[in-house]
This record gives sequence, structure tokens and C-alpha cells, in this order.
Amino acid sequence: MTRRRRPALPLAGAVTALVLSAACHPQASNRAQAETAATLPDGPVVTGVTTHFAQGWPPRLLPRAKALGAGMIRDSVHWPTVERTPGTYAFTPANSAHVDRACAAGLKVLLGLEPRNPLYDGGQTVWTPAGQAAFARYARALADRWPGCVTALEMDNEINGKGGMIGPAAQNRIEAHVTLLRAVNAAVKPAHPGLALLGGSSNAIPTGFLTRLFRAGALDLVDGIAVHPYRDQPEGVEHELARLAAAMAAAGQVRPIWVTEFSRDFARPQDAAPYYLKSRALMEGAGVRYHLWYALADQPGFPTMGLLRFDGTEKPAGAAFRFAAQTLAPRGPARRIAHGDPALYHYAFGPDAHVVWGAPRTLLVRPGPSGPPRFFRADGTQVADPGTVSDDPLVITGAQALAFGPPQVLADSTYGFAEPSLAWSARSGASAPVPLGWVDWQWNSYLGSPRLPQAAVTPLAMAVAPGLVTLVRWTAKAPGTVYASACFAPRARLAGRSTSR
Amino acid sequence: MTSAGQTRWSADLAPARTTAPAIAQVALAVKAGATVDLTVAGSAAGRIAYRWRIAVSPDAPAPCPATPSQGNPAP
Repeated sequence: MTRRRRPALPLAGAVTALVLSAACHPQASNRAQAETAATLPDGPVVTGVTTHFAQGWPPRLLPRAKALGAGMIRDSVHWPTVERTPGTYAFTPANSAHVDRACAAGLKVLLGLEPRNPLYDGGQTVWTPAGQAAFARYARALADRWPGCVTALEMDNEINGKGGMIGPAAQNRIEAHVTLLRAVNAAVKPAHPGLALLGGSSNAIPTGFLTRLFRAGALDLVDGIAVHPYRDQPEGVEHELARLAAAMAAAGQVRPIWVTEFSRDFARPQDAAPYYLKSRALMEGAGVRYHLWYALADQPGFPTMGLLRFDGTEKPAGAAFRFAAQTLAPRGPARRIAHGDPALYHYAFGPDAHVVWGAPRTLLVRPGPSGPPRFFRADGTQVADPGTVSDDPLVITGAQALAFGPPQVLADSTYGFAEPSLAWSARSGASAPVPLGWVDWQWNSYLGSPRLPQAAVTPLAMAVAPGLVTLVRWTAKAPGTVYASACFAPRARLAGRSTSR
Repeated sequence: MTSAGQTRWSADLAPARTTAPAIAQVALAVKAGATVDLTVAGSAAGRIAYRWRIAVSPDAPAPCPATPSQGNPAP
């Protein structure tokens, strides 16, 4: 594993001014454009976790994945360790016993494969027909060796990133990846039609980048699109998933989205539990049926992302993973219940389980026929009925119905990002404001405009530049006193954006 | 503050001078159809974390943005 940081953009400008103004004038029409609805293929939810046994993790950690409720692990079998002589595959305990063990434990395995081998194309990402054919034969050998257990292959890793492809392939990533997918598809699918080939493996949800891949024919060659939506806060991922689904629909085929890594670094271990639960609900509500947390255990390079510490002791993230696997997963995928308020996140799992969070309001729970409802924190700790909604997700089981009081928050730039309750626009100097709408970029989707390319807004951050003025507008529906508040922080990362445009 | 009024609040977010988040809250009396704008202008290229809210009471201010993530793991 190599540690990788996104290159930092400059910090915000020396002075940022906030102006809150209230004035009666016609409502602007600069609403963020709505996503085009596209439905992802339905099916059972497959929950998993990334492991690194191919990198030497101790086998003692494997049973913990199963015990936590993972149905699948994502690991690798490194090509150069198996094919040391052209055309000869040597599967040994050293290079692949972890897959044997996972299969024996009843886990499904997703293999993430980097198409690099010193035998071909100088060890760089294979790009010649001969190199790609060799990789395709290797993928076929993997499929032949573990049929029914290795159920998915993720071709390459984070191909939109600097390290995702190296050598000549990186000079034309779209063509290089599509020709690789074509070679693997031809080698693997005839004998293994049920094996899922995953393409487009990307850091973040780079719908702009993936759209180019779709236009080049990638959707004809894969069974799923793999993304790694690392982000500072879960909310907003549902919009970006919808953008990706819409892009596939526009290209003619909607393939399942496989979230094969998701996480972030956490300042406190307990912060990971609500992050996991919220992410799971948001992704499933957006139609994702395959999601794998990163990672099973803490590592020196990523010491806060594990479900477990490296010694195997469980962290709050592990408790949340296990609790969701035991309590929510058997009830089926999350469904978002619409209440006409984007700041209220209400997800139902089956007929009697709910996950709720959002801007504050009262919460009234009607008991179901099986007895009084029970309330849990994300990590599965049972709590008393709080009677209110908060930013912390609340799990409720045994509830027939939920009723919510009036919202205390009328608009929220994060919870209501790209929703009609707010309108975003930007202007340069004294020019007229330009409405901001969705822009699908090579790292993420954000609110911006081709007419004002320096403007960019995400659920948590916005670009600033000399002369650039960004406005967020709320329009009152009724008279009264409201409290407008803002919090700015001098440092921010636009989620998924690693280079300036 | 009235619906026709305006309030201006500036936050100096220069990294050398400010490390803590800058928070502001104002009460506004509004009529139906009134608009409330958050206007952000910067004097140098970069980015800021932000969050803003319109609430019916002062007890639900905008939470400060989550701290940035350090980066993504490689496989």
C-alpha cells in the first residue's frame, strides 16, 4: 500500500466576507437543476469490507470479517506473484491462501486487480494488445480457480487518479481502460457469465470522467461500475450517485454501481459509527446494492478507518457494521421516505425499522404490533426514546409509524444541497448572477456553470477567487422572524477534487 | 433587523490570523416572498468550508463543517 494524499489547493483568500441580507424582491429562478431520475438495477444488498491479506495481513483477522456480518471481502492476488514466467500461473499459499481461506469461510471475494507485471509492457499498466491479452488470461485463470467464490473482478484501481495508471496507458486512460475491459470480457465472460466484471474503478464519483468512458463503450463490457466515494460527510453522496446513474442512462445502459471502498479518516473512533450508518442508508436509498467499507482493520498508513484495530479489538465502526448487518440488512435495502423536507433523512428498512437523522424537530413513534419500539445509536447501543431528531442517526425498530413535528430549520446548505429550498448563483464582479447547476467533473459533481468556471460549490465547501461572488438564496414562504447563521472554516477540501481546474 | 434591512458581517479567514471557524448569526424579520442571501466573496483563490442555515429559533445554528479528510487509501 502506498499512502496518497490529494494535492492541496491553496487556502481560502485572505478575507472572506459574509453578507446576510433580507429584501423583498421577486424570487430568482436560479435553482440547481434537478437530477435526471435513473433507476439502478435492484437486487439483494451485498455488504463487505476491504482487506489486505495479499499485503501480509495476519490470517487471524479473516474470521472477524465474517463475524461482523460481511458477506464479501475485497482483496487481491497480485499478478506478478502468480505469473513469474509468461503463461505459467503458480498459485501458492504465499500469494493466494487468503482467498482459499475466505472461500472456506463462506465469504464471497471481490478481487481488485492492478494490471501491471514486469513481464509485460515494462511493468507499467498494460497497454499493448499483447500485455492486455496477458492480463486477460490471468483474469481468466483467477476465475477458473475460484468459481462461485470469487464473484467479482475490479479491473485496475482509481484510474482517474495519478497513480491509478502509469506509463503510456495514463496518456489515454479512456482508450486504455476500454481496450483492457474488452480483452478481459472476451477472455472471462464466455466461461464465467455470472462473474461480475467491474470497470471504471474510480476515486470519488467522477461522473464527468466516467461519462467519457461510457461513450467509449465501457458499459457494454462490464457488469458494474466501481467507485470509491471518500468524502468528509455522507450527505450529498446520494446526489452524486444519481448523477452517475443518469449518465449511464444517457449512455444507454444502467449498470449496478459497486461502492467498493468508502470511508474517511476520523478524528475520533466514535465518529465512524454514524458515518457508516448514514452512508449505508444514503447509498442503498440511491439504489446501490454492493458496498464495501474501507477497511477491516487499522493500518499504519490509515490508522483510523478500520472496523477493528490491528490487534483485532472492535472499534465503534465495527459495532455499527455488525449492528447494521444483524438488525437492518435482514429487512432489505433502505428506502428513503419523503417528507418534503431535504433536511429530514428518514430511511425505512422493511416494515418496522427506521433510521432517522437531520435538522431538529420532534419525533413521535407509534408502536408496532410486536411490542414497544426500541431505539439505538448507530453502534447498536440501546437508548431511551429521545423524542427528537438530531444530526446523530437514530435506529428505531418495532415501529409502526413515525410522526415528525414542524422543522426547526427551514433551509440548510448541506442537508439541502442542490434541493429546491435554496438557490445557488455566482457572479464575477458587478455582472449579473449566473445560476449554478450540476457540473459532472473528473473528480466529482458539483454546482457550477460553464459561464463562470471558477465557481464551484459542494455540500460542504465552495471555491473563492478574486472578483468571484457566490450567493445562496432562501425565499421565505411565510412572514416571521428567522435566524440566519453561518459557519466558515478557513480550510476545506472540495470532496473528491484533487486538482484545480 | 427588518425585511428591508441588511446586515453585513465579515469574517477574516486568513490562515495566519484565524484558525478557528468563524460563526455568525442574525435575526431577520421577513415577509412572505422575501429573500435572504448568503454572499461569499474571497480576495484570493482557494476554497472555504461553509454551512449556513435559516432556522425558526436561535437554538439551531449552522453546525460548523466537518473537518477535511486526509486522503484516500490506495489498494
